Amino acid sequence: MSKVELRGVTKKFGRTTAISSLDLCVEKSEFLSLVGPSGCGKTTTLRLIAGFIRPDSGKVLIGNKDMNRVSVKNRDVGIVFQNYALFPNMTASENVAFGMKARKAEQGTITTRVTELLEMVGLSAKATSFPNELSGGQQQRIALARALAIEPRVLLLDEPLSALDAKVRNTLRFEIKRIQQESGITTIYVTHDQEEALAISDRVALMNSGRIEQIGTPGQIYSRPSTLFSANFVGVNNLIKGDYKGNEIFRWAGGTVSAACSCGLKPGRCWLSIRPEKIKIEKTEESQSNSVSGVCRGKIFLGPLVRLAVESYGEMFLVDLLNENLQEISTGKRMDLYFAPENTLLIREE
Amino acid sequence: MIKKSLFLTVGIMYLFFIIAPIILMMIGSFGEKWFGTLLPTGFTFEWYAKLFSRLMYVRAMKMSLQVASLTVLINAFLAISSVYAVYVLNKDWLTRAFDFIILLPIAVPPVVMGLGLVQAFNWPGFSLVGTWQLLLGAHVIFTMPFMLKPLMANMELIGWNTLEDAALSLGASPLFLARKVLVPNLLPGLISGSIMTFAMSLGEFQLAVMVTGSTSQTYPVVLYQAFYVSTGFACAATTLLVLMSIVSLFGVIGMSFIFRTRIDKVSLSA
Repeated sequence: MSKVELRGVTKKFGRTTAISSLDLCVEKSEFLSLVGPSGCGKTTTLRLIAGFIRPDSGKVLIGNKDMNRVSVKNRDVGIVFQNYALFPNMTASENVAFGMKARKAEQGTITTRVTELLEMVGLSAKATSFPNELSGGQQQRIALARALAIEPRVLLLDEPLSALDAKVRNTLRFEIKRIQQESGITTIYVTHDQEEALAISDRVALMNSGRIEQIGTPGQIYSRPSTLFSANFVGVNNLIKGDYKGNEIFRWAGGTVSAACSCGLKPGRCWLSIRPEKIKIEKTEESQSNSVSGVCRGKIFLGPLVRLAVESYGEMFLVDLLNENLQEISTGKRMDLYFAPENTLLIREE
Repeated sequence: MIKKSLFLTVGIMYLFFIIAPIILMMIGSFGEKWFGTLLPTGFTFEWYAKLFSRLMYVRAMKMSLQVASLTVLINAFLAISSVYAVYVLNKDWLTRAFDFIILLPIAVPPVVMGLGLVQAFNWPGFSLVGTWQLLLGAHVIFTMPFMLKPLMANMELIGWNTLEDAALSLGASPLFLARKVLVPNLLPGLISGSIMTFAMSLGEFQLAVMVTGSTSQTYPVVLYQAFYVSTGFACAATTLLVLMSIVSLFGVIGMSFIFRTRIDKVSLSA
């Protein structure tokens, strides 16, 4: 269990800069996700921490020690890969034992620890199975046990659930979280799936073109996106283009809206962000202050929710409503939308 | 229906052209006389007795087995090292250069290679020509592509790069990595490469006839001379070579069953 720190790390591949002067600090026993679109540098960051690649400048520290001259082998990091990377020629238990054997642990210790780990991932019955006899989910559990077997200081997971189907992904997500909490190991989790990152992490670092766009708890990332990129990438959002007039007043094609907080914004071009679930179609106590009228252009069934697309002055508003008594709403119906100032957010134009 | 019967016809003809001469040779090796008839007449073991009583044939057989086995061993070592290097360095130009270089021994006719070797290693006072070591070198070069190709494909199939990353992060030393992960997972490629290499070296004639001398003759060279002795004798000598190839082939296949590897499904799911 160690703290992981990146200080001003830059990494270039040929002419492309994968990471530019990145600073990141992952606390002891913390679960941090690196999330972003493909090519944002999240896997490069992970590989820098693992030691597969070296930074062009800057430092990687594990447990306050500079790792720039330490090889992968001596870094004590456990890694779980997207494609499992189990050794095909070894059984599940041999795979789990591999790291301990490479480190010349005693046979007795190895046997006890392997049994323990297989039990932890719920695969004691599969100890003698070869990887090709296991399902994807089972293989990834074995890979997790193998990474933890060396009692690493840091656990790195590189898109571990991307190759699995939705159902397995969801159960394994809980399992990874449980194991991380039980062992208290510092964990860095790379994913392109923002929903997964929000569900599993203590903190989320949102990456975009080699930089960290925003870092914070899942709640902060979701409800207070600090940039247009964050607002767009995380969850579904309505982003309305307009002008900030000062005094919490936002003006757009459809009129003026009062926003809760300008967050030090100067008057000028900006965006208004409002989550679909914060918009109501009926006037209520708390949502009365802002209203927009428009025409319903579409209706999608999402299980517990129904999502409406409402057009107003050239902007499309998405509205999520609980799936109750919505039969009367159909395409072409005129309707009014209401939302409260405290649910809106003004975002600076870049 | 037409497709199926066409396939069957071609298949049967193909087998016929491969198997018929061999069977005919086998029959001939037990015949007393084979002159002017479709099949030989009489029955005898005499040709085999003669074959094993002649030192030249026994020595050539031993020489062939020695050269072929060493060719496989040296090839395996060189091929695993170079395939590993090319794959891990992962440079586009290197991969392309590698593809070209491994085709060279196939493109250059053995006669040309043999003449070249005789010219290149024949200096006054010191000559390698006539030694079995020169033939070994020639066979290593000549059969190398057939070891490299399956190993390269094998490397792709197992997704080597992540396996190596995983092993390194778990603390494996290079030697531990090679012994526990690389070689066991390359076994399928290694086996098919070994079969090809062994069979090619065992039956190779053109290089052997030019490079070897009287004490280092390999079996195909003396086999060629056997035809001047008598038909039955030549048939017996040929049959022995075929049997040897088949035995070694099954030997290697048998080995692959003992060291069963499990790369098929894993690599598909990755």
